[in-house]
Amino acid sequence: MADKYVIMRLKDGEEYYRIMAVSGVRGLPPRVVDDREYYDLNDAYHAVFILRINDLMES
Amino acid sequence: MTDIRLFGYSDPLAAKLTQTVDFKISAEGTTEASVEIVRLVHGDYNPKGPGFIEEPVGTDLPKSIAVKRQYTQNGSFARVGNERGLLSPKGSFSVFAFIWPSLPGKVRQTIMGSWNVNESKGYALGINPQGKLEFWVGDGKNVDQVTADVPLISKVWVLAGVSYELATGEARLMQINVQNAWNSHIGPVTPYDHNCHIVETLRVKPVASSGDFYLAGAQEHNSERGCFVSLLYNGKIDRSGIVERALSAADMATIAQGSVPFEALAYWDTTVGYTNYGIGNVICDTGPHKLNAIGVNRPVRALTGWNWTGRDDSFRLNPDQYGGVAFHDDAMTDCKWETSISWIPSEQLRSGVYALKVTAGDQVDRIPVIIRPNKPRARIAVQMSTFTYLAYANEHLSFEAQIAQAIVAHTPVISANDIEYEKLQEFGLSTYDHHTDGAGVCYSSWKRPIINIRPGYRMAGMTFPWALPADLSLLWWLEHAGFDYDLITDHDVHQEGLDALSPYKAIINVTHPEYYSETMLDATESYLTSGGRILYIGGNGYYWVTSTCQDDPSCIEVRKLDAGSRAWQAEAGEGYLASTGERSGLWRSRGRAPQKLVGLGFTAEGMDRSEAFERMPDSFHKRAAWIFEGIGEEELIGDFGLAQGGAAGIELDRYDLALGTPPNTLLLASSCGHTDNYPLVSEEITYAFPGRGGSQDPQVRGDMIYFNTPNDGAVFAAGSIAWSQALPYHGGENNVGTIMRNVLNAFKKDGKLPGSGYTGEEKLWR
Repeated sequence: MADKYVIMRLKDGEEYYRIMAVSGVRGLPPRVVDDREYYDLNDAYHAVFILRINDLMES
Repeated sequence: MTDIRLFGYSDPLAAKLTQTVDFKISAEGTTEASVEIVRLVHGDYNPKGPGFIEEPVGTDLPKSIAVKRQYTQNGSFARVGNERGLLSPKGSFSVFAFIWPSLPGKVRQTIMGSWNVNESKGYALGINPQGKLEFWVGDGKNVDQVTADVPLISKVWVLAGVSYELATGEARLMQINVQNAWNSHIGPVTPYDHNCHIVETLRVKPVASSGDFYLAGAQEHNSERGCFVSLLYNGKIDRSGIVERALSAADMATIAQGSVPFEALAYWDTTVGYTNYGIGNVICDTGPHKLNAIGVNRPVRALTGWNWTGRDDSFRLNPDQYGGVAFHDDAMTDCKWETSISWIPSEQLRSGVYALKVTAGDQVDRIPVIIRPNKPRARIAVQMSTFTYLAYANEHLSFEAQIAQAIVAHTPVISANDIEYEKLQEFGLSTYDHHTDGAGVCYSSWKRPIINIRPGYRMAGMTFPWALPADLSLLWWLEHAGFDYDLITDHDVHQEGLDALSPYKAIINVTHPEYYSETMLDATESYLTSGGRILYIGGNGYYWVTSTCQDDPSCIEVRKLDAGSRAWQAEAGEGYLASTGERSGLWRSRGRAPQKLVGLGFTAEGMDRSEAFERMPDSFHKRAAWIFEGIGEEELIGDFGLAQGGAAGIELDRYDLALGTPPNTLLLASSCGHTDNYPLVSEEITYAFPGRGGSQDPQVRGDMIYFNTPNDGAVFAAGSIAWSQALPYHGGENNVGTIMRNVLNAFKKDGKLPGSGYTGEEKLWR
């Protein structure tokens, strides 16, 4: 599970997101991947998609 | 200044009016919190619905209360009272245990002993951080140990034993291979040497420690936290004992063959106490002093033991081979917090879902409690699926399950609270999680803070409310539409059977009644055959064989095995519930497919998008056409909703005569066009071949059905989790609501149901 992307909703009930990645270690919280904030969930999904493409190209 | 953090739970999770509800709160960064009771009206922030709604409720509770940090003991172990010091021998002694360590290495673990970490006194047989069997003793100043020269292999049974001669200080540590073809994770073909025999003279003589004796733990003390148990063990322990003399190597070899030392000071026989109805939380000492070991945080019983030979797959057939008791360092079924405030809901209160709203600084927590009337008041009851709420309680899927994103077909959306719970790891696991050694979690209780029963909570994997917060959409709509209802719970039906259901003309099942006990199935069946009416408006219901622990109704048990959408797979021979003695797994595998009761059963799940229902020819039959009054002939039903945009989705159930759908059932509507992220469920897959997704397999659909049962009873079923979350759409005025109104208005009346006179066939269309 290490480094799998998740989207963090920054406030309940609001469209306000940031991309994080889980640690893969129980008890160790996810890390922030970058500081960009997204105001639409689809934009956040798309950002994760781009990150995965970049990861694939670098692998 | 410490950030304020608030956590809490109610005990019980569901109560009758005038029954005391205890709220247990732990707070950091504050010593005071304001409290008020609120009625939870709607629990989804989705702007396409009514939003998050709560109403304050007048009570005589104080506005503010003192709060403090409360600590939680994690890990399962068994405690033996040692008040008389019997388990701290003054002379020579030996201890032994059959063990199946599941996670040797990394940290020190205690198998058994009187070891006190702070005092460095007592003795213990355990596993050192290098994964080797070790016996250590302490006199308060010094510690000495004898260590095996071969490592323990994960999930392989051995007899671990040590004899200690006081006069000479000689300690004989023995590890004896008892592996057979069945009982361990690897077989005898693996060329490992599991045997060890080490004799050393210890420089230290053990001095009696204060406190108790433990299986799978050692005692420790912290000035802030008080006494707790640490050096927890992961794995199974079978029969174990202590003898007041130094056993010889030959004596140990005899024990390894299954004999019981006749002079044992204590002999914890884990096979004693089985009945056809399971086994409890007490590990019996058959020795002269009856020093029974009491399980804490629910050690798992009814497991295979060191001598399991595979022929018998249940303790009911051969209890002597079922001495395995599993301990886990992350098991937690009861926080045992002090009560912070109690509330007695007044007799005038309406049945509903309430919460203690706790506020300190900018932190707010809402601790839910379901309130049932003390006497039935309404003609309709909503059966809140408390078993399901517990099964999913604090699930870790988005953080730990590799397959979770593939199942839900999108990236999880987590919240700050998810991260807080993930960091703390104090409040236990769900039946969708695994213990640190990889074993599936089979117990879950309400005696702990549960994040995903909070109103407004969106389950991270799904991104929309799930279970209790989702069920609030149904309750909101019932109030919007003017239907009086009482709430009852799975626990009520499990406890009271038919008596919990029979006062009502109609029972509504909520979004996801997945976990069911035999008593609940029987009650539901009796209710239907005696004229009761059920609205089954959920998905994947009556699925897992579940029960509560006999000595603790707050704790459910389920074993996942063989078939079905399962987060884990029980080990071979370990599929029977310790709490009832019955085979767990799917009800379908035990001859009670949900189709036999409510006409529908699980067929597909997906979380990317939901669809609408389309009318089928049976919806025009005079026996059921009244359900569609106000609905156009080609009108899509529920092409909207708060759960991924449709009334048919998330988890779907299917009509299937082959699985027991009553032949008199009318197939009113079906959904179609589901994506390939809705594959046919695994229990339907006998051979694997391509094309089982929603775009290709006709069994991937949600069905809407209606059938009459004896004595003017009936079932209306819409097999979809998303159904109830479509109800609040368009201000609650929509065609899903129209169907619900038509059905409820008919079901709540006495006498014959509309259309019930039409019993013929061909002439009754249109």
